[in-house]
Amino acid sequence: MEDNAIIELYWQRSQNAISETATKYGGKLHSLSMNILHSREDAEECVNDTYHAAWNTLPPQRPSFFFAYLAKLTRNFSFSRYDYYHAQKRGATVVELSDELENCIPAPNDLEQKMESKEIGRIVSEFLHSQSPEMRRVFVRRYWYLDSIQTISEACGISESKVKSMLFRMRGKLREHFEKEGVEL
Amino acid sequence: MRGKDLLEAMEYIDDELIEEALSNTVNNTSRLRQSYKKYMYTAAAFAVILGMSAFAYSVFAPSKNAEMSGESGVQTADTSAAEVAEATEITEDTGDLQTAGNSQSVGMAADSSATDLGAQPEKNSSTDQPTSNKSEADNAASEEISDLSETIPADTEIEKSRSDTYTIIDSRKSVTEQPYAAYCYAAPEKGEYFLHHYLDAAIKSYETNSPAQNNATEYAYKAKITIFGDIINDNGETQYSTLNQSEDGHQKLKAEYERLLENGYDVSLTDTDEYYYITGIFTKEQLDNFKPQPEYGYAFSFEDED
Repeated sequence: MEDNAIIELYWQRSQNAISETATKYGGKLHSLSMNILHSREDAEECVNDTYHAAWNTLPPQRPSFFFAYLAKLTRNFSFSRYDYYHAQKRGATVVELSDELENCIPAPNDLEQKMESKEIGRIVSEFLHSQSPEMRRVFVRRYWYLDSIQTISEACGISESKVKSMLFRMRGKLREHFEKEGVEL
Repeated sequence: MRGKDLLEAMEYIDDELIEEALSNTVNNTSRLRQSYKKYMYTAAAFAVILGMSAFAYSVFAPSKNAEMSGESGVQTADTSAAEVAEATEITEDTGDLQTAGNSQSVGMAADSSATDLGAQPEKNSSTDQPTSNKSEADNAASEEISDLSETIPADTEIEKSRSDTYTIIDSRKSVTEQPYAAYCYAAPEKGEYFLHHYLDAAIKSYETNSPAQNNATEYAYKAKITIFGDIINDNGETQYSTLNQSEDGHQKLKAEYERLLENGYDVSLTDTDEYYYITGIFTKEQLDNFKPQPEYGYAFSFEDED
């Protein structure tokens, strides 16, 4: 079923809206949550929270990119749950990816967040749009979907070493981009 | 802000980018290429193993036979291959394969003065490679390779047979052991190509001295291709330069690599943090008849030549 048709089901308050959403995107949303939480049960709950949130926000929302809308909700729920569970001890994936992205931050780390996350998101988007589709696909899969190098390699049909090389170059460029933009994080 | 904050701030990137990352339109061909490469490597591995075992058998076994028969003085020189093959049998009691067709059993026969194969000690079976057994194994391997070949595109066969039939020349040292002299070259014009000094010299040397007339080795040359084209530099200006100097150039280089592959050239793309370039294995004929793209200039060299 097309995204617009599913959204229409939400607007009509049809019970089929959630089942159609689950059929079409349930697997992807579950994988995304699993990448963050590494727990099947927690991931399942986050995906259910996503359906619930979609039910409550459609209407009035009518997103142009329906999957991205749902995936953002899932990612958000997953990170919230992650923070709740791992206040003391972080999971390996998030630590690994946080360390990688640390290299993109030009200024010495200070704990005060001087820039709104939305603004950072805008700058990162601007940077990604200036890259080739393949490069940004790899970057987004790694740092948005939190996919493993192996998963990206298989999904994009390129070697793992090339994925690592691309990410390395992208992080360096993002850092330069932040510096060029005069961003102080 | 720390890395994790940035990771979470990624949430706010454009929806379009999020959806684009999961699109698979470009990936199908890449996946095919990857599985194609896996087949290629498997076939190459089989070919190498088969070649090595055949070589080892043909060189090592006969000489050892001769050596052992010389020591024992029992095995007569006129034992024919047919007799050896006939002597191979399976002992009914143990099921062990035993044969008089190889060096170890010749030695054992001398020690025991036995000619009845059924009476030979059992220990001789574990290390022996019976002739018929080996030929069965070779046949099985050949069948596996031919089965594989049927599933692999024709290009792979060309490449496999090429590595079997060509001697690959891949270094300037193949021409001279003299200290390396650096030559300066102007960038090739668009639509043109040239060969660096040592590669050119190697081809002239090998092809001139190569006794192609008397059926001897044929040569192929492993060369790096430096490709020149229009790229956008850091100032946003277009300049004619080597393609590996910018991301824009990398994309073009990759496209050109794919074009060469499609045209049947045996090329590969080296992609590391520091290097990004195409190498390939070419015959003289391929280099002589190389068809450049009109928008690019090409310089061929050995990898250790620049």
